[in-house]
Amino acid sequence: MSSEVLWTLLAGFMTLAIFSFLYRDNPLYKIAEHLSVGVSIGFLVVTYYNNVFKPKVWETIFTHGQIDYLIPLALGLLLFTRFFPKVGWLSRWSLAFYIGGFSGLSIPSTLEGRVLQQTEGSIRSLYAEQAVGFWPTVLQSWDAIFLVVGTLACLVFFLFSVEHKGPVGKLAYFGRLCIMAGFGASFGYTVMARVSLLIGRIQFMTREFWEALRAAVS
Amino acid sequence: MDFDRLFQSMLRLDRRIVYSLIFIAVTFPFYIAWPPFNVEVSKEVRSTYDIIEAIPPNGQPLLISIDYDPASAAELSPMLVAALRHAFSRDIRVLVISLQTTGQGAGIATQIVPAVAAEYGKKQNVDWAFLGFQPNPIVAMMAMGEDMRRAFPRDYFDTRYEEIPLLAGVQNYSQIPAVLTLASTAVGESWAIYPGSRYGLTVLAGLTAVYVADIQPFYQSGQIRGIIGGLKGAAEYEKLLERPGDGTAGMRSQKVVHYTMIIFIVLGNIAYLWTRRRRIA
Repeated sequence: MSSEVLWTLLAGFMTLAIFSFLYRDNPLYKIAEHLSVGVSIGFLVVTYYNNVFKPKVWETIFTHGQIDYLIPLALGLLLFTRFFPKVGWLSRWSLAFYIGGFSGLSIPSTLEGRVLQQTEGSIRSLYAEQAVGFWPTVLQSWDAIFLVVGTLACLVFFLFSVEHKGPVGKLAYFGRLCIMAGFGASFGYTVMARVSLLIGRIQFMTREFWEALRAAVS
Repeated sequence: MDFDRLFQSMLRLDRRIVYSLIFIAVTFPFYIAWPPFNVEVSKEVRSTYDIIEAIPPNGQPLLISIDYDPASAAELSPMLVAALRHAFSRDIRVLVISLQTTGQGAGIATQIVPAVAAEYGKKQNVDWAFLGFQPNPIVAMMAMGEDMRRAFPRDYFDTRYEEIPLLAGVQNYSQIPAVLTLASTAVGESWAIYPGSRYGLTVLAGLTAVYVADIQPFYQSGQIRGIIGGLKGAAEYEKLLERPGDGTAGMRSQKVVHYTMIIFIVLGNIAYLWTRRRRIA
């Protein structure tokens, strides 16, 4: 029996063990669950060592002699002082450096990408000039109007300094409908995603696992 | 017929019966080609396809970032396979990286990329390269914008950046026509916010269905130029390629499961309303 067949069989039996939870909690499920977590952590440690620590820390300092890398290494090691209450405060230096550096890196881009460009994207011509033909023009114009009015209505829904009565109340209600439609779309996509995961496993079981099982039996 | 008893027993239906029916609904279409199935290609998938199609052959590489782990492989691996087939069939070079934080995306890359490249006789480091994994996605994205060598001094197989022919002349995003991120987390959004906004990189996103609704505003604002959403998106891409794969195969099951769930929801509501009306009466 080749190692590939063996690993495929193991993966198939682990899948069945995980599925057995649907009937009820049982030791087989527990074994598969703990194995999954353990293997994931093991993979993570080995990958981080080979792809991060070895080339970026060890080789940089001890092979290429770039001793300035000792500073981030020391900051990284300081994080472990949290395990020792008396000197645990030292880890704050690393965290302060990390948070400060990361904020400086991300705030300008976040402001640009998440606020300014998003705002710009919601300010658009209500009349679709580029559309060709009557119905495309009507539908694309309707799309633009809906986007602008819907965005404003959602903002009004979260405006609590004005009482939601009269026209403001109606706009806020429309905003609530828009938000509910958004949640509904998200939920629909989530259901589709979860079913896709099951489909993936069933595809594996009916193809690779079944072939491996037949190979093992024959 | 005693509807009271029928509906009450429906409301007490054992969840394991529901699981069994869902299992049958998923498995059944793999063996019987039913129901008839047609995939409508959305404009988001069409624009992804068109942007990749427009990349000149044997020129600057398409960047593919594998930002998912095996838990999302069922949705995203069909997209990866389809995008690789599209690129290799048009002699577009492919540069692969992984910014998935647990490092498991690297394992997926080493399984799928060489296998698809072999289908088209593509050579490693000439037609495609896998630079490996970096743990902090945003820092890696920003570093690549300045100098890719800083983020990936060596590839996944320990070859130095300078020794990879594909990367000759590739210094930063200026030499990358587009990035396709295949993401199961908010990393897809980060590609649009950081390299997209700061460096003007063309961002295409293949996402698990869960994230599609969240990322849609970025498509409308033009920050993401194309979206492949969930298994359905993968099936649409396969249709454009005229090469059905796992995405198309899975969508038939998806359809039957959706019918099954709709029937359950309708029957459940009828049973609930019937018994509630009887209680009030």
